[in-house]
Amino acid sequence: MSRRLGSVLLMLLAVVGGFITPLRGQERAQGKANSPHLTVSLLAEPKVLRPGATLWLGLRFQPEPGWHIYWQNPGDSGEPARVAWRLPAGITAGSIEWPTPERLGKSSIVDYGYSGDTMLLTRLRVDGKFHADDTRPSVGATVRWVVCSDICIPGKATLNVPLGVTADASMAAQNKLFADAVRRLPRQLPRNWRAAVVDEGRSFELTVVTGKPEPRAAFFPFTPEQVENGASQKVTTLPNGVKLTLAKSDGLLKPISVLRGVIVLGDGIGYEVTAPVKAARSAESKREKTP
Amino acid sequence: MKKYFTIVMLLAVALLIPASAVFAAQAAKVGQAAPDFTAADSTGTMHHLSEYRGKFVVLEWHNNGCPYTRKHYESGNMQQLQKEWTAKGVIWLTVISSAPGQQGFVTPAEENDYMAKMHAVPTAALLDPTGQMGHLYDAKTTPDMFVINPQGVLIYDGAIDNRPTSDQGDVQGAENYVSEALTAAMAGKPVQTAVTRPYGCSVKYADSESNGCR
Repeated sequence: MSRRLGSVLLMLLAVVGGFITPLRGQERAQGKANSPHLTVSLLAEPKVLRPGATLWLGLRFQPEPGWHIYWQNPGDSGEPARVAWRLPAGITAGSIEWPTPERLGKSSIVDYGYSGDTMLLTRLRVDGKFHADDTRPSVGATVRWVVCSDICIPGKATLNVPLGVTADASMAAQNKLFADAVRRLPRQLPRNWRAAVVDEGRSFELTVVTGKPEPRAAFFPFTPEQVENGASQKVTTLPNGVKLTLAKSDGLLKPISVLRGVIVLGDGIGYEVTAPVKAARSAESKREKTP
Repeated sequence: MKKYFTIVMLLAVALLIPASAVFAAQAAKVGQAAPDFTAADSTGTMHHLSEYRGKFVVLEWHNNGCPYTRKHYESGNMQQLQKEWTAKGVIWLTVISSAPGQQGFVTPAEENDYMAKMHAVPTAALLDPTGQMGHLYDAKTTPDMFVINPQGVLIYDGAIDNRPTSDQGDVQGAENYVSEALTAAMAGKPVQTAVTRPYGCSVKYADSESNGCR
């Protein structure tokens, strides 16, 4: 028994060791970590630190099929990924810029997140007087996340990306990854579009005027507990846009003056919406909605 | 054929409408009477909310495999809360709405073993494999916490605390909304934070009930 047990133990150690290695410290940290049901990598674009420049850091999450991570507002369950950066002096990081999410789950419990290959971008700013003391500066990240299918598994990794290196052959493939990631960020609402919300008592009616009929739309609220995540969103196509009926969350106890979030239209592009909330115009419409 | 179709449609309408109406009428809402429930615990004893009039009742949605539940059990936080509040006369009911085959589903014996192993001391652990009680309260996550006052009114609905993570390290120093609600209500004061967004894993209801209106 001892030999068999011994080899099983060794195998276990090897497996556990494999997970622990990337966490051991920044010296040993790699650009990529394999975790249960998920691979996470840290990338930078460009990989060069120039005084006064801005660059992107990308945390690329590749969950296994059937698994997902979460948006900044995770919806009814789950939790967004978090990151703590280790940066050379003279470099500052912004907060995560979240790509347009998907609606996950078909039951009364609905989450917002990402089921595929997803890069979470963060903008890095290099001070104008930046001078690298280190010949091989690098950026480190300690990332925590929760990856879920039917069940959830928390994960953590310490990653590192060297900077200040010259461009190499892998850069072209990486450029495309970043271009795709930037394309998935919600856009500003075009100047000639309009977004407004009418408070109908039990629901919000969000109207977005785009200048043409919009047959499809979905709204993702930035703030939890304003919109009922599990309620279906009624889409009314207008000659010049779209109207969405959003059931209010039971957790919304006070009126809100602004509804903020992302609206995704038929082409799958997300637009950031900041819509003032007005009370319903007539008392009649209110009476209808609140029997 | 057409007649058959009509009958099927009528049946569907007859079945669907009352179910959703009953659910809507009974949904748990802070400031209103908490919906009465009937559920068996892990020892086979039946519990009804109505039998606890005159006492504070805490409902704690539970799934022993969920990392957010484990955060509060492996740190000892949940057991500590159960011990503290049951000692003050509170009825603490752990509720398990995981359907058979889903994470967190337990037989009565498994739940009794779990409670012994974890030194969990709720008043009882209610087994709700059909999800009936979970849907009655619209429990969304584990943990999802509810506090009911001695008059049977729901006074708190939401997260256990203000740290929506699965890190055990976040237990220390967190603002515990359940303790705050109980402390305030026992002192005759209004509950400052009465509704929050519950955090955690989704409750593992049976798929057949995942239509949102049961």
